[in-house]
Formats: sequence, structure tokens, C-alpha cells
Amino acid sequence: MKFEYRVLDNSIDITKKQIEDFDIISIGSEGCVHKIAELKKAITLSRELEIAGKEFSFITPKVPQKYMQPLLTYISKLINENENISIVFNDLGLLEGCKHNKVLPNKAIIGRGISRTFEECLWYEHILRDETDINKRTIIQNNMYDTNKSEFFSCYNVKGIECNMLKNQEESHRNLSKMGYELNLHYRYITTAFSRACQTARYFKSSVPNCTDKCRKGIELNMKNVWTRDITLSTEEIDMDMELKKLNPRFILMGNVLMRKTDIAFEQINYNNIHSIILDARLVSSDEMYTFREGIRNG
Amino acid sequence: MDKLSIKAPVNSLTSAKMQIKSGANEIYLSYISDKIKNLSFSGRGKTSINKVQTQMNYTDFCKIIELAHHNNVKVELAANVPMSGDSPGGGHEFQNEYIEYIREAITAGIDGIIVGDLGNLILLNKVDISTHITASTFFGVQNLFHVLQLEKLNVDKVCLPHHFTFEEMKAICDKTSMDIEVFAHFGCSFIESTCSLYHHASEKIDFGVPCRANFKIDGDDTCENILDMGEDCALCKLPEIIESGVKSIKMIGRELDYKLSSTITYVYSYAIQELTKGKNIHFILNELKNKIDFSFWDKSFCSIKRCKYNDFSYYI
Repeated sequence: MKFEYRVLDNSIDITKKQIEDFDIISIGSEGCVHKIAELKKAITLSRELEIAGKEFSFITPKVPQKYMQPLLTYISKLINENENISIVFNDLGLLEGCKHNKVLPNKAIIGRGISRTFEECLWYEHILRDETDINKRTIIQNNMYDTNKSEFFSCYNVKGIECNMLKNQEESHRNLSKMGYELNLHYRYITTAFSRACQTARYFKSSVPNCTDKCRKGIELNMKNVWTRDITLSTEEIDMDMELKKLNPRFILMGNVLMRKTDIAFEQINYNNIHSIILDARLVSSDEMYTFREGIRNG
Repeated sequence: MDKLSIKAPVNSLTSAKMQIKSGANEIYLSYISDKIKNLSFSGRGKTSINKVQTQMNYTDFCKIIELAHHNNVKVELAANVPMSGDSPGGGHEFQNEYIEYIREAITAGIDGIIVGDLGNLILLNKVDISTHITASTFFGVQNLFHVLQLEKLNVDKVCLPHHFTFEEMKAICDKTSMDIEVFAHFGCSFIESTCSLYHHASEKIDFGVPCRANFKIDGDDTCENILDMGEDCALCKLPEIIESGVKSIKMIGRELDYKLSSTITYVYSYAIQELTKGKNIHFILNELKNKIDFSFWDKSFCSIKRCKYNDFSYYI
């Protein structure tokens, strides 16, 4: 199993030791086009990694229309520099654009903006409470476990999938692996929702795109009042009931991406079908990364 | 210029009658299938957070289609369940039930279906179901290349996500022969195709609308609705929507009381009708205020600035 060090910021500061210590280095953004590093810096890193014999992965977000062509040009230049780069796609339009412009990478990976499971919902068990076992298992599996999608994505060089670390995904991982996908598992933090209108920019009273320094750290959120609207549009804020409190609705807002911590300890995960573990530098300290990695390596 | 079409939500025979009378040109709905208990093959659970039934039985579903066709109104089946795929054991039970749900609706005479998952869309192509297909907002389309990808998969209409600029709508409408639809009333904070804050999903625990909830922010003394980017009303922006080349506007509201949702349809229908006569939108709004009790609208949308397509400063 490989370990991936991920820096999702336009400022990329990766040390030689980090390059030595990890198998894959990735940069870019899952959520925001404005968080992508300058092409010059990306190319410099790509060269360093090639010399060091390490893998390089570029993460792409959802892409509003006006940023499509600049990003396709960026990708084209990056692939020209290093044809072994893998690219993570969170927007099917960008994937289509790469195919159309003949700049598909040799290895495309579907990111968490597309690869999803119902289990990402904090209250999935409650919603699925009355469903049959087969329906439950089908609904909570990763949505990429689908022969139709697999055939479709093979035309786009899709070879890998990114997944969240959740307790009921072992069957899904096994099935996706049988389909031939490499599975890349995110350590600890689960993506819950992505937005186009950025909450963090508004919270800091900044405007997009002058806000890129505001989301280097997450904003921790703890739900306090429920917002309800009755059938006549009358709205009110009510206290959370005990059942909801028990679910502990706490989230972390990272820019325009809402996340939550996984409820499973890493020791409980079966890593048999996992190709790599992704460690996000914004969310996991260096000490924790090394402790985790050594823990896995020592079984 | 084609008249902008209104697609309205229907959750019962009575609501269908009211929506048609109020000026809906298209309606969308789903019928109860006993294959799923709390969720459904549509994008909603069987009941909403307000305990409103979002679906009707098959007999009423057939009656609604007959009524709609009699009034020259098109009917779309909400078949936009956002999850699907092979069964974990390798079979295709869920997909087979989904197809059966659609075939029954075709037998009843629907004019089109709304699809919300790429695998389901490819499946429909494979099983040779040739009806009008709308790609739901669950596809999370952000750009023209995604629209063109859907066109290759025989989609006829694409419903864009809630946060979109007029410039973007126009850029897409100008480059495709497919119909483009946008939301006119009510809205989400997140891109629906990526959001796991499920509600209106037959829940018994009251989550409300989670993205509009108040949150305690770590390191900040205040509690606020920090995630709430929901935009609710596009009435004042109808001229720009029409100008962009969009073909239809979609109303949300299978979870609402039919009297309310049909009033919303009436307001938009009246505004569109008067706009086509060349009247100014602000003049039309004043006319509406004299025709109906507009106080609920002012209170729920205008006074709290729940305007759609109005402020793009936080758009990425």
C-alpha cells in the first residue's frame, strides 16, 4: 500500500524529506479552481518528483465555464512535462473536456466530488432504517460500483477511485477492486458536500477569488438549532432533539467543502483492496501522519 | 422568442388540478413503489420533513397524466434517484426494479423522465427506453463540456444547479441544441450532486433543512447559519432568465402544501405572460401585489433577501 501526501493549496511548500517519505505527492484542489498552484510551481515539483522516482498526482475541482479553457491549457502543459502524471477529476465536464482536447492523462482518477456513498450522510442509518438488506447494501455502496459506469469511464482512462474512510465500505472496496480500479482512501476526513457559492469567503467577508488565504484552516462547526419550514412557509429555529444530539452533528468547513470526521478507527479498516492512503496536509499533522504510517506498516 | 415554460411539482391529484389551473406547462411527479420503503426512485423520500406525502398511488398517477394531457400539459416522471449500480452480490436487482418503475410509467403515458445518476442514464440507453430524458440537477453540471457529454448519452434537457450566472446560462444555451432548465423557486446551499445532508427523506428525526441550521463556530462566540447559501426567489430575474435562452424554469415543492406551490406557479405564470406582452417586471410585480395577498412572499423572500441569481460575489 502506498502513502500519498496531499497539499491542497496554491502555495506548495514540499520538503525533500516529504518527497523521500511518501510514494505519491499530490497538489491542486478538490473544491476550488482558485486554490490551484501556479503552473510554474507545479512543473518544478513534477520535475523534482520525476528525478526522485516518485508519483505525481494533480487534483482538479468542479470547473465553472469561464475557467474551463485555462484549466485545460494548464493540464496540457503539465502532461507535456510529465506523461506519467495522474489526474483526479471531480467534474465530469473537465474529464470530457480533456478527452475532447486530447489531453487525457494516462491515469485518470475519479475524486470524491463524483465518487460517493450514502454512508457519507451522518444520519444514513436512520433514513435506511426500514429498507431491505439488499436495498441497504446497494444504496450505501460506492456509486462507482456500476458496470455501466465502469464501461463508460474506461474510454476516459479512468483507473482509480478516491473513497472516504467509512465503516461499511469493505464490500464496496472489494467489488471496485474486482472491477480493476485502484482505490485511494482518504484518511479520517469524509467529504459531505461541495458548494459553488463559498461559505468561507462570506464568513470572512472576503470576495472570490481574493479569499484564497482564508481556507488554509478549517472552520469547526457544531449544529445548535434546527431550521424548519412548515408547509405554509412559516420558518422557525428549534432545539435539536435527543436523537439528533446523539448523532453529534459536527462538521469542518474547508473553503467550499464540508467535511466531517470518520467514526471508524483506522485499525478497523481492511486495507487489502486499498492501493493508497491519502493524507491531507491541511487536516493531518506531520506527527500524526508518521504515527499512522508506522502503525499500518507494523500491522 | 419561445415562451419560458414552467415545470411544477405535483404530489397528488388535487395538486395536479391546481398546478394546471395555475399555469404549469409541465408537471413532474413520482408514484409509490413498494420496492423501497422510505426513499424512492425519485430524488425525494416518500414523505418530507413536514410529513407531506411526496408521491401518489399508481391509479392517481394515471389519472393525473390523463388530466395533464387533456390540458396540453407535459408530464415528467421523477426517476432521479441519485444512487444505483450493480447489486453488491453482482446481480442487478435495484436496477431491474428501477427499470420496471420507469416502464410502468411509460405504459401510463408519461412524456419524459428525469434521471439523476450517470449509471442509470447509460442503463436507459442500453435497455432501449426511448423517451424524452431530462438530466436532473443531481448531475451537478457546471460547464458546457458536461452538457455535451450528456448530449452524447441522448439527454434532451439539462437542469442546471442552483448557483449559476446568466453569463454561464447563455454560454451553454448558445452552444447546444438541448433544452436548458434552471431553478426558479427555492434552492440549495450546496451542489446537489455532492450533498450528503439528506432531508425530505422520510426522516423521523427532525434535521430540518440542515444547511440552513444554526451552527456554533469554534473560536467564535456566535451561532450562525454559516452554511446557508440558499437562494429562493427568481421572480425579479425572469427577464434575464428568458434573455439567456433557458427553455424552462423548475419549481421545487413536492414537499409543500399544494395551495402554496400552485400559488407560486400562478405568480410566475402571470409574470411570464405579462413579460411577453412587453411589460416591465417591476410594473408586473406591482400588479401582482394588487391581485393576490403578497405579504407572505414579501415576508418569506423579499424582506430577507432570498433572491436567486442576484449576488455572485461568493461564486467560485
